[in-house]
Amino acid sequence: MVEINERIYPYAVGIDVNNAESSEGDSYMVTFSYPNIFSMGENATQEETIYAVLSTGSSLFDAAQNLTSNLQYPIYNKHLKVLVLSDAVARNPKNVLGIIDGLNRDYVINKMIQLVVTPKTAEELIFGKLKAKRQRTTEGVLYSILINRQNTSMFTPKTLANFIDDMDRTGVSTLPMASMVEDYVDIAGAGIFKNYQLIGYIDAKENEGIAMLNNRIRATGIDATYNGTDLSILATNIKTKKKLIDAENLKVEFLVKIEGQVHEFTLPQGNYTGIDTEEMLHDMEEAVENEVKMNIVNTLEILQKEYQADAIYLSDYLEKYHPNVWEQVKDNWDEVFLEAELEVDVEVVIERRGLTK
Amino acid sequence: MNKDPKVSNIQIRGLIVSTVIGVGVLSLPNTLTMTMGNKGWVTIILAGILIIPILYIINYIFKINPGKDFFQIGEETFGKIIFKIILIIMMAYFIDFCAYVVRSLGELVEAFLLPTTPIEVIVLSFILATSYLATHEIDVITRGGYFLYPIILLFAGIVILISIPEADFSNLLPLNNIDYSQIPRGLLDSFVSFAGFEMILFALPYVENGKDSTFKSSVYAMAMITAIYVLTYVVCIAHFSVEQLGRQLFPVLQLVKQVDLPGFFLENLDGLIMALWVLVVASTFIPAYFAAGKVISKIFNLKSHKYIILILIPIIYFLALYPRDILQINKILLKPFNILGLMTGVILPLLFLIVILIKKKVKK
Repeated sequence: MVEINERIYPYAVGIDVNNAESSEGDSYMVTFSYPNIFSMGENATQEETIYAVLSTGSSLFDAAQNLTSNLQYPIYNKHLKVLVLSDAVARNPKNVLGIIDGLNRDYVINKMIQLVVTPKTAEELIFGKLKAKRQRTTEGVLYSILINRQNTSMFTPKTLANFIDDMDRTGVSTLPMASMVEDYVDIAGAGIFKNYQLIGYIDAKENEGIAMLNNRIRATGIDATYNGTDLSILATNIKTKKKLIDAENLKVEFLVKIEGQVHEFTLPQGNYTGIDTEEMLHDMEEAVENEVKMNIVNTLEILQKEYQADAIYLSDYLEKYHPNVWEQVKDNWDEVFLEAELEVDVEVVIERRGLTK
Repeated sequence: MNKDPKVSNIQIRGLIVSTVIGVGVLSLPNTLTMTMGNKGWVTIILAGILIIPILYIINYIFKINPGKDFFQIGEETFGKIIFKIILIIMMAYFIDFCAYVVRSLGELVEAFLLPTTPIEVIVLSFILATSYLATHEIDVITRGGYFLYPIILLFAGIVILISIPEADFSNLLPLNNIDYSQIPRGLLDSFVSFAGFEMILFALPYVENGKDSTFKSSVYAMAMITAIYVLTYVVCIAHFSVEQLGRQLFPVLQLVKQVDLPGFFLENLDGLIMALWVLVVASTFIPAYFAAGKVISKIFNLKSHKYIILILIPIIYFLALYPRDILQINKILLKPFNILGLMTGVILPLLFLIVILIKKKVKK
């Protein structure tokens, strides 16, 4: 009988490449961070709320085994919430496949754990977050940022189940990118994975573009310029629909519909009486449309030409809604995707002006 | 039998649903996806429809032989010797059914709930716990099935409802490119999950009121089972890709593990679902155990099947534990189960019908 307080429940696991010379088949360096249950609750006996340990191993499970010489309780992975892959690990598809397979096969590990990628080492990130006092929550720093109650578009969370699903469907997925900025954990942008291999990164703005196209964000702020001044819009509802225009030479239109309200805008001089004409509203909408369109077109360029990665589920769309077209293009999809014409049409409706004109 | 046992129509419905929905539902989406891709629901519906004529034949057999039970009709139709051979085949089927069901449950419980408990303990406790109920007559068994019937509906309801928020039903598309060449294979895979409806062979003669509507009850039960299987399959496809479904051994349990409703209210439900699952499997196992005992007691012309149930405890135990691993379970227990199931469920009623019709013609 193992009592509940006689186990160690890791929240986050980081996997790095083991650079030691005599690795003896232990190809990974694995870092576990776990809460100190004796520091919680009313009768807390200890102060330190979170600990991190690391060990080498041929897998996550092997590393946990290797740690048993200096841990007082066994590691139990049922409450594991986040897996961090370092850049070095993720660049090798064999590593990623092996790690994902291990997680998928295990009985105990929850398949909704969040995956992130970090450009430096996972050890740095996990030991670094021990210092992030402001960000500390009961459920763990990384997890509480990742479940995105703050509704950000700067990154899109991805669970293990979603990642595997993406790999099966399109072969392409994005994992949020986490790093330490000064003393705090910052998650923005994403790493692009193709066939279980990390091929590059995109920044927060580009991630927002992809998230808009995939219907992954509802609300976000958009900045545009109108009449020489900054116009700040809060988009409250963003929906994108895909439409096949031409089947012969693959041409697909993305229709993005945004509803929003004015957040901040003023013209300091002239006959400015507020936003009170339809013409003015219409011009503002156009300014926002252009801004959004520019960002999305830029993002699509990067996906298409630089990474040749279909992170917008285009192949999935064709397979489901135009199976005849898919039959023809599926064998050389990479080329077809590179040459495809992706048009973007943005429609913005500013519904509200806030409390003042 | 001291007094004639009595069952009602609604209990028949409960018996069929609770017996059939057992082991198949956990792994049906996995086996079906491998042959039919995301169109497996077609073969499930087809299999459900194709069983209806068999139900009709079974009802017909009892209708034209009122007041007699299955064993009397069988002896009269086939003669003592041939019927004894048929009974031996049925005995093999039900014993294999029991062994396969209890071994599958043991594997599942050990993997998800009790990893350090030896599987022998799980299997033996289950057989012992269910043996008492199996020593009773068909009316008690049917009432037991009727009692567990809402729990089965509850189980299916929970699985389906919790999966709907995160489901992506567009995974069922495209609808039009069904691979017709794979349908026979898909039918065979689906049919195994419908095994268990043969229990009505033992229960139908004792329906007291509304003998004419037993066919309706049977069809209603089959429709409900088909609906539950289709919904479970659809919800699995809506959650996983076809490849992931093909990889996983127990997609329905995975579904439950992946529930993550906001507010941390429902998470890690597998403990609760496994507990319910044991009941669901018990409602499948007990009628099969009863049937095995009953059939053997008729082969040896015994009055009661009580002692046979006791003798069957070690037989089912050793047969269930004989395969070493999951691959051997499929080879040693599942394959014969498919064949014997087809013989008992499909060929036997057809044989009955043919012989009865021939005898009618000869009499004329």
